[in-house]
Amino acid sequence: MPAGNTHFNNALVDLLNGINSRSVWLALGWNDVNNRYNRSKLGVFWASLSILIFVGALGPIYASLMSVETRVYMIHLLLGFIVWNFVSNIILECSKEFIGSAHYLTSFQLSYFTLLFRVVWRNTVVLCYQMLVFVILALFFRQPVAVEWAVVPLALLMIMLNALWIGLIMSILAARYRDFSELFNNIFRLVFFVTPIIWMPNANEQLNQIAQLNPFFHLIELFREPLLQGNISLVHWQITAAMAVSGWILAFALFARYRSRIAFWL
Amino acid sequence: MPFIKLSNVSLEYPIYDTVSRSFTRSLTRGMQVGGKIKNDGSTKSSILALDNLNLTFVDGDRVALLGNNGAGKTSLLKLLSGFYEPTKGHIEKEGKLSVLLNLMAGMDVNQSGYDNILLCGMLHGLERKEILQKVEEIAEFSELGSYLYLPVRLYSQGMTLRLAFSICTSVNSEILLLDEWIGAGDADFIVKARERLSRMVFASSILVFATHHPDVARHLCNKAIYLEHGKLIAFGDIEEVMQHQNLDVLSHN
Repeated sequence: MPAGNTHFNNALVDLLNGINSRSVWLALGWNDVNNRYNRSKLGVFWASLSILIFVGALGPIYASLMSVETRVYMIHLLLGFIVWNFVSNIILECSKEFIGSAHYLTSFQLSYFTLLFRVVWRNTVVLCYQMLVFVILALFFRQPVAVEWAVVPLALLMIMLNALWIGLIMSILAARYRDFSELFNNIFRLVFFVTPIIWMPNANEQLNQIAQLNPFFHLIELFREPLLQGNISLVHWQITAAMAVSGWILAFALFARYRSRIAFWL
Repeated sequence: MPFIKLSNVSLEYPIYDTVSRSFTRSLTRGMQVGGKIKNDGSTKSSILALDNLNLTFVDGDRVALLGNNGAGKTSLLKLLSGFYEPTKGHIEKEGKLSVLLNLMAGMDVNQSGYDNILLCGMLHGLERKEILQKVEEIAEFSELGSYLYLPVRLYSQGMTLRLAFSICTSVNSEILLLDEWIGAGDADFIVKARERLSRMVFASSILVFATHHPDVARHLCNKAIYLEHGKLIAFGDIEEVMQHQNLDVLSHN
């Protein structure tokens, strides 16, 4: 069998083993969440509370600053912030995962994907807790319920797919070159400000153009638009689906090529 | 039938963070331990941890891995476990495999003893149902009683070791890879522990066990491998290998 072929097969086996060891990454991810809030009275609810404090304090001020309706601005900020945290945490935590969990890899028969799924899962748990704040705000502002809300789980799946391929590339790069996770930490802090999370993309034409060029905007809108406006724009789905397909091809090719080397880099 | 077959297997660690090449060059002179440090004049240097091994393990082989520090024992275990892929040659293997390189692997000191049993059991590839069947037995063997409801960080070192040992030895696999970690807990527990370890080993089909203790090796193993600087010096009946290498004289703790 040619070498490229075995590489690809091994990578595929790694992915399938990751999917099959659900019980492992579910347990590890849940354990991570518990550990993060270990011994605090409120536990995981701190994830909800801290975002409530942030949005509750910032929302009314910025809403009047930007002359946007408080309801719209606060839900815009909340959902944007939740999805941004989800995506950026998955990517940044993936970049540290192989290095940080090397002891799991040496001691157990774990596939690399098991560890990446663990990262996605623990961030999904946090996202679910943070979405409680959306429920509170929606009730408080009497946000109209729309059938379009039903698309949200699918949107979340699409966001995960995109976050994971970026995370996969990061995890490989960061294992080989340790500077990468620090570098991306800094880059992501900047990207946050050019993504319409604290500002509104429809404020003027120029801002709108900047937003349209930003892939993270489209990822956020998959989730935010139906909940906030009861509307689904196909363009966000087209762009993010194209990103997912091309990204996964790239990321998986990279993974297949370098999988056997990762252990030496840890 | 479980088996492991290594054909022309070499394992070469790349070195990415050397200070300078003159440093690695000065290292290679007159060293007593470790694999061969290669420096081919280019910018890449590496350690040849395992050098062209040809080995076959079959059902009933309980193999002691012997050799000085840095001879390649742990490297070979990590290669057999699948953590490393050989840089040359290839490995074929069949059978459910468990790696017990580090007794404390997977333990989370912030969680209770019971939670750790569940977590480690899952990491070892057991189904939740299987673990629940074993929990009582593990709890009983560890003799930790109601301490199992408390977080492990409140345990003494000996108690933690008891728990870790009880968990690790409840795994049953066809192929067992064991690094040296005998001697957990107090005297009473050591006797119990050895018994339990033997039971686990004899229930498995293939054992590969890295050790410095000739006595323990003799007790658990019927074959032995002697490695030196990553090269296979001897493989065969444990008594012959030991006599050949004068290991009884060299035995150290």
